Amino acid sequence: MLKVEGLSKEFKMHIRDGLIIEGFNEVSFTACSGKLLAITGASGIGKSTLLKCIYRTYKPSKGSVIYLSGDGSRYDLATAEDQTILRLRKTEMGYVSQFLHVIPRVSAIDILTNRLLSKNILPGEAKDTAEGYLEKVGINKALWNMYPSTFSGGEKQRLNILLALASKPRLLLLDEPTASLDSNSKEIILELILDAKKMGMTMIGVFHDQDAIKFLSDSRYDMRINQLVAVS
Amino acid sequence: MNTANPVLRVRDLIVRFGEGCNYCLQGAALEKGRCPYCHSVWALNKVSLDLYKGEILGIVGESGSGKSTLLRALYFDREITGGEAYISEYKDGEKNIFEISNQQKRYIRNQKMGMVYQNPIMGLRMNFSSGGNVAEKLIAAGIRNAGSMTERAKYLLNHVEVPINRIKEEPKNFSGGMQQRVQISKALANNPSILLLDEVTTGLDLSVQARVLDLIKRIQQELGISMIVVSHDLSVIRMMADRTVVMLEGRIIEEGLTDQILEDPIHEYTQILVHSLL
Repeated sequence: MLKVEGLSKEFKMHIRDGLIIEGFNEVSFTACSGKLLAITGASGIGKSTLLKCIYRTYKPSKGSVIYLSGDGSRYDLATAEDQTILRLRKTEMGYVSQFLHVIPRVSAIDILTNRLLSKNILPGEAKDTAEGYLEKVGINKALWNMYPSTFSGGEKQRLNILLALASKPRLLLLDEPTASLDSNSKEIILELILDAKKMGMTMIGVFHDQDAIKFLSDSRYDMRINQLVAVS
Repeated sequence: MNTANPVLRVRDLIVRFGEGCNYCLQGAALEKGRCPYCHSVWALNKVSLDLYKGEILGIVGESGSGKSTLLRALYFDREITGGEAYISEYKDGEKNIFEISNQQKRYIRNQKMGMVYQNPIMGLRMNFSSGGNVAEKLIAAGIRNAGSMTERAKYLLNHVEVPINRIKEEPKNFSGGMQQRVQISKALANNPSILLLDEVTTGLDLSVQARVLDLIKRIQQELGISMIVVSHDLSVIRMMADRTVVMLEGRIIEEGLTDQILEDPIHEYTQILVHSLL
């Protein structure tokens, strides 16, 4: 579904006299439909940079990212027009980082409901579905009408994952979604990701711990050697 | 979003103060947007952009970069020196809106566009009632029925959270945030397809700023209006805009997805701008 070929990213830092910093170099892999591909390698090797290049938060310097869309069209995400990327982000591509970014002063339940509404779910149904989700991930009912900025780290991240999954993207990019979480929150999030995968979502993920990789991934790409390797 | 057919296309727009000379008219290098020989100032120097249906396009840049001049040129507040612009809802986007009669320009301004200025004094009549302000725009758009005008004014002012019982009051009695909300409702009165917003939250305190932005975002989602949001505040741009263009010395120097502009700026000036963010 997604084929990355010869992808490289370098940053030219004008504020340091045009210093070139290499993000990563010559990455090639294929992500298969309904599977989770884990990206591994030491800190600073460019794992997050790679995910951001696929999502086009970063502009790739070289190479291609061929994506097969739900309607059968093929796009090179590395060079596609901004309008195309915006449309794909809205309809089929998601990205989750370890930080929750939401509009200030909107309650958790409203944020989640609005996300569902943008997916053409009926208003009455959306609220019920949102409540179901929040209950499922064990967020205390007393918090549903609070702003997420008042949540604990674990609660914020559970909401973050819910928001990404609620819009049911075909391709989801996960950038350390379980970093710095307690084991209980982590377990809940890993289960959610596994459920989504069972429903056919394609995922590419960066995880800092080996357990998560073993539990979730179908294949592993090692950025030290730029090759697919065995999962464990 | 329709890639093939933007609601607004701007091509090579120029606003120049001064006659220009053989040097700068050839497109030679300027000093901070000013010709070193004839001292003409190029406030807009061949600006081109597309605005797509239902999107919010952000414009950032330092003061004097031409952001406001661009909006005012598009709203016919300011004479242009050269260039073209096309609106898909006017003559199927085939007629350059700078080459039409003043009457036709007024028609576009009254029927197709809305403008919200940084300073409410620019957009409101401070000694008319709030309802009267909204009605003024409705009358300009050709509506003559007093009953339906009152209804529309009530609906709009309610939408921007101005209490109905203050509809007869003059904006000069209102706080800055409330004046700004009256101005937004006035700009929306004619159901414009394009809304231009010039630093609308600059100078408002933080909580009011958030409410005005919430409101604009909600209106955009409900009504699907295409907007150009000018701001020097990058957090406003991050919250509002899908795409962003960066202006410097009358030119667009970089454009892209808002998150890309903020996280992976390519142009030297954009890098300085983004890294200046506290």
